[in-house]
Amino acid sequence: MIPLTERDKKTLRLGSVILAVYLTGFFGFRMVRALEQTRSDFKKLQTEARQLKDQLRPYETKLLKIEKLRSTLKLEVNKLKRESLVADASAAIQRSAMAGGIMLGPIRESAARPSAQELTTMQLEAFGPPSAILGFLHQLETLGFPLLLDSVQVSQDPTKPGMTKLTLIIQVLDFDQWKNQEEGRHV
Amino acid sequence: MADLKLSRTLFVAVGLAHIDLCTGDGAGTVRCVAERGEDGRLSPASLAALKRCASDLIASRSPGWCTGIVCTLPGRGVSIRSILVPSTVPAATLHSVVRLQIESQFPISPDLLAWGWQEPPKLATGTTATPSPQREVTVFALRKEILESYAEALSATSLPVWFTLGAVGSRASRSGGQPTDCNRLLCLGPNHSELWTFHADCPTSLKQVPLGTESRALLSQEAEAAELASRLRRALDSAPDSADGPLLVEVDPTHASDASSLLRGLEPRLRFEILQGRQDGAIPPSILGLIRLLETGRLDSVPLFITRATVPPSPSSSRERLRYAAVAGLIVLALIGVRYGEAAVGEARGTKKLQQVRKYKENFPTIDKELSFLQHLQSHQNAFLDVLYVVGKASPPGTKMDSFSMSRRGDLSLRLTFRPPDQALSFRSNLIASGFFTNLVVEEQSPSQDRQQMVLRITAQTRDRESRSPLVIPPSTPPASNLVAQSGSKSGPGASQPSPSAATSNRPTATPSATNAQTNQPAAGKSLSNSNARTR
Repeated sequence: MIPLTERDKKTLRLGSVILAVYLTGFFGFRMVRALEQTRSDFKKLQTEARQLKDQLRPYETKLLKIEKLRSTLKLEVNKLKRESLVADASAAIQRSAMAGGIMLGPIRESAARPSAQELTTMQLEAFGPPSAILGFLHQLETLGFPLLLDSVQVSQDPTKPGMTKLTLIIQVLDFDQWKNQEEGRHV
Repeated sequence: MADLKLSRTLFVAVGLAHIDLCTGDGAGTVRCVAERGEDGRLSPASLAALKRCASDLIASRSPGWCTGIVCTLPGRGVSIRSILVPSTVPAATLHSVVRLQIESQFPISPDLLAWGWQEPPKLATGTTATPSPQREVTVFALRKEILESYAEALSATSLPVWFTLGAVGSRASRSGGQPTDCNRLLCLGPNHSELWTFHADCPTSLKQVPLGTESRALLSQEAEAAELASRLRRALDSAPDSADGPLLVEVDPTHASDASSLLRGLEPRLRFEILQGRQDGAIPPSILGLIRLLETGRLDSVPLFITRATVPPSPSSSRERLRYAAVAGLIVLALIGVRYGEAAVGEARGTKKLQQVRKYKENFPTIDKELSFLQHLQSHQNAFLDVLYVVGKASPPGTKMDSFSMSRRGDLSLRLTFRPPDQALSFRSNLIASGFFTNLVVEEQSPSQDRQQMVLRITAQTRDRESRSPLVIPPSTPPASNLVAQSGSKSGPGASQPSPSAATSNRPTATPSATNAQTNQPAAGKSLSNSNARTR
């Protein structure tokens, strides 16, 4: 091995220092840039999370309202099958009427009106004592189907004393056609 | 110096005629000639030789084997003085006090001196009975430039160098740091000698004696011999040995016989002992003594020369600096960690969580849609049960309802029969007062043929939910158990068996209208059921 003079050692030492400073600067700059990029991404992520949180906050209230309405109306709209909704609703109405001691008259279903966001309109007649009629009317709202009583007509049954004749027009709403809209009308 | 290891230390002994370099384990020894100028300092050639020899000896082994250099100096140029310092001075500030004393007693500023001090054992003062208000400290000083010339020569090794007096090591080569009766040391050079006096292990005086090994040639001349003997006697008399031990003589091994002949010729009755080195003199007594002190762990008792320029970094201060550097590094890492650590750690977790939230957000339209639908369904329900309750409440006893018709938009049509006929007026007033209706129109009011009844046909518009006054249900109203009993079985997917509370809470007005019929209230339902008879 060639012996190194002091001058050689100094040169080598200086070169090592310069090389170390260069490498430190080069890789240090890259590392700092990468870290800054990561931090910047994280800040963006935090901002986005904050915005999302603000957007989510009203939905907590909305979900509570939905839960309350579901329990009040006993209605799970997501579980309804559109294909069999009218048939199921008609069957439920008839079962409820029969269970309440009400005799059902003619039932007519008319074609759907997409503009009204309904599946069908049913018109039915029923006969029974007044208390049973009232119970039936009350129960219609909680059958578990989106039914709206469009018209209610109660009158005496001239043929049967003590009996009441009920004529109903019921709308079966279509949830799938429903679009987000503000309530327009109030009854 | 406490952390020095023998095998990793290089010893340098600057003597009167030679410079000896020796590794601690004695495996490597080098000797070079110490040429001095007229002022007694080493010549540049000798300093260069010292520098070269030290570098070669260190480089001859594996890198990093040597951790420090201990260099012994001759007494030339060294001044020794005893100074008194107050006994109450604590050890921590003793150095500063000694420096002040040097400043006051030495003709040269302490900044221009390389100096050290040693405190002789207190027993030496003989005043152990009562504590003395002052204590004696022996100070030895040397011009800084002399010491720096050695330091510069050895600085090429980049190792810490400790300087001490060679005489201390030489005496220790015989005593090994133990108490001895030899308190005088004569370092015999070619032309002159140094006579050291010790008190315990502390050098107390130094005298230059114009006597050397080359003086042996003058013994044949009677006058010259008498003069030399006189010089030696005066020197010895001025440095009496209280222990009366033999005079220790340090001399180059090649001139040991000359020294012996000289001393016997000059002072036949003088008891002396020539110090022996090791390895035929390759390890001189000064280095041998230091090696023995290092082996026995007493090297710290050796006084050191201290200069601001040449104070070597002590291992403890190096450790301190390393500790500070480590703490600083940790702080820097902590700062970096605080700035970037959260991002590095939290990004993956945050991204995952955000994806879950985004996925959940896709359900937002469904939630809005369902809420809107359910709200529409609830708000657009036909309010006929409320209307029936209000009509029943407004009807006087004996009223018969012939027909009731109401649409979802609130169009109401009623046909009622009153008996007696004048009750029709109060009925209309009651309906208006209920605040439930607008545009109340009596389309037909016709008495019966027997004038006992009044037939009334009314149309009205029901107010919307927000504008009409709320219904007040009497608290004593019992639950409509009969309605519940008539409720049907489960019908829809979300429906369940309606409970009494559900039936009443969902539409509270249904209950009064039904119960009115059972509690003799003027309810429409009851009127309808008794179409041919009066309710009361």
